[in-house]
Amino acid sequence: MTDVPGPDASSNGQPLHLRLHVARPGPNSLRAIDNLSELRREEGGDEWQVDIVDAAEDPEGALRDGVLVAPTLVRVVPLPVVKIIGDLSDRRTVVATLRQR
Amino acid sequence: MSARRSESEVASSDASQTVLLPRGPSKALADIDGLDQMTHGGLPRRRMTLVTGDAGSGKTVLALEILARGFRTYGESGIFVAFEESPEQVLSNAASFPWAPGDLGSEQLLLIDARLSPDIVQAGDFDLSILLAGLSAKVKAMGAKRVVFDSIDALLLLLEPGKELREIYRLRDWLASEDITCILTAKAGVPEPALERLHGRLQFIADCVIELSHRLSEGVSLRSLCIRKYRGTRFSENTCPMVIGSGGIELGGVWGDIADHPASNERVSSGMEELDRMLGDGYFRGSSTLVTGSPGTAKTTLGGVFAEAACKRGERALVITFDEVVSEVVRNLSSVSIDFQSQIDAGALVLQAVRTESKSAEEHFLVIAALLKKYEPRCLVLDSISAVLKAGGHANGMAVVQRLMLLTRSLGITLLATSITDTPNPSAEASRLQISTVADTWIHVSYAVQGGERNRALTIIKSRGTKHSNQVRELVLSDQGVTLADVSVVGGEVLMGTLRFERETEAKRSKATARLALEIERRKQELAEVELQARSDLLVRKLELGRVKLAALSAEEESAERDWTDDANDLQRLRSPDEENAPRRKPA
Repeated sequence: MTDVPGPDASSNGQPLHLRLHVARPGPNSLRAIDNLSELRREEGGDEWQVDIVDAAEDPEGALRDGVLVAPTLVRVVPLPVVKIIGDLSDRRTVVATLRQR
Repeated sequence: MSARRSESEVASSDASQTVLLPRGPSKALADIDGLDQMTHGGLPRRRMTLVTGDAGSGKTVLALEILARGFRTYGESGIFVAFEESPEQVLSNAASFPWAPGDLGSEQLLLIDARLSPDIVQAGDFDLSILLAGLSAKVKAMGAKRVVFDSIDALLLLLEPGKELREIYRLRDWLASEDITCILTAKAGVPEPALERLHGRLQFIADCVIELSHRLSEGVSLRSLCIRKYRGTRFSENTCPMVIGSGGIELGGVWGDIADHPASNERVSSGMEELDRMLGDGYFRGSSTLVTGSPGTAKTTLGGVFAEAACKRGERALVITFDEVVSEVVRNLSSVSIDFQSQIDAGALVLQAVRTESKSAEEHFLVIAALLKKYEPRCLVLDSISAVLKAGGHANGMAVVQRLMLLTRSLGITLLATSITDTPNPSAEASRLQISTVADTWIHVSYAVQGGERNRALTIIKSRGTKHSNQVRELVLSDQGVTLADVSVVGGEVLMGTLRFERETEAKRSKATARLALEIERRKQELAEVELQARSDLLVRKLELGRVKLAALSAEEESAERDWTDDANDLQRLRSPDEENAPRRKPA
């Protein structure tokens, strides 16, 4: 796990740190990348840190982090770690989950 | 099993031939006795094998054993992907087995925790490509050949209907490209539409489907394994009883070709001269004999004499007694002068007591098979198989006993099994005791109550391939040993015991009487003949006398006539000339 508690961390909430595990060029993965960037725009997530990790680059890394399916979105910050699987097409669920404390 | 291995070697060396015939799938041996025979050489390489079954039917143990043995026996490293249990749980559940992977390094057997945390959120469609990419890397690093996806249904069920099929195909293509022997396990028998649909699809796509089942019958756990399908190859379609024993997955059955075993013409003694004569010349080597009878009919004794005779021939005999104490068996048999103790001491006889309590028939089979392996006897006595027959349902027990008989036959072991029957009529029992159709010889011992006593009657109901006596014999037990006596038949009734003795004495007496009567008759006849002869002599004499008298009279008459004629001539001469009219003088 990457530790990111930024200097601007406040009680209100730190900026989100998200990691999206994908397997390009899988259609689910490509859709998830699109859906996430759209969501970020809509939610005003300019502050968010978003890493996109392709399984082809570090195939064993995903397994190590307990990531099995493509795509998987991991909320690294704030804790607790939350995982969302799927192409993020169910936007309402994604937003609700990311806001979860 | 070595034969199977060489078969696949032969298959691969065929490639050098110019004409390439379509061949069945290349296979990976499981090194589980029975499974490799049922699959005719193992699970398909580069293809998907599905192991299904209810909860607790042994899917995980089977899959893990194939993986662990894959490395231990064939040096093929493997990966176990656990979707439902943690790797620690999986390992600890298998820790007691001899093949337990506890000591294997992660280069040899890697366990991957693939459980989805319960609070994972799903937001749309997903696929397995990250998992497969990760596995590809591991497979490459380890040189792994076998991969198990344990309870993959847990993950696939999260997919929308229709999407799971896509992922199963993805998995199938991945296996082929990675040269992996793959086992998927999935629950069956859960009445849930989504699971049933998934199950159907897995069965459809998998090249080999192994179904495990687990049920309770009369309080005894019964497991079985069945190969539902296996594309492109021969396989055994029969359901095979299974036990999760100390060695892991154990399959009950006869492994090896029975037909290959030549039938023996050699005879072995039953231990009783008279019975040997009734059977033609004893039992056939490698045959099985069933001795039925109600309690106390000396079935055990028949087993005892058979085993003792084997020991005296210098063959090792194994006597397995169920729910009895060894010392009691020895003592009881010594009362009919069967000396087990000295044979045991000499190492010729193994007398083994087996407890039947809460054991399934299948477990009995495995226990007996293990004893056969350990002691390698030439003769086996099971006293009695009723215990096995009762364990966990009759039909199951029957199948086990039949297989046991096939096993001993294939090993060339001569088997004598006793069985308790409750009815006095053996043929009424025949349908219930179907083992009698498998047994080569069937001897029935019954009680005949007659004249206030009970005697044992022995009949050979059948004996394959031998001319055998159809006679009923009385089985006589005494401290001198065991013998068979001819019975007496009077007016269609069989006499035994005291009645037989009386009958025999009576017969002796009446024989003497008959002899006397004959003598008298002969004398009478002689007398008659003598008398007749005398009479006929008398008559002949009388006739002779008559003849003599007659001759005498006729001679007298002749001379008188002659005298008279002479006198007349003289007178004529005297009276001439008037001699014509002269009156003839009559002779006086």
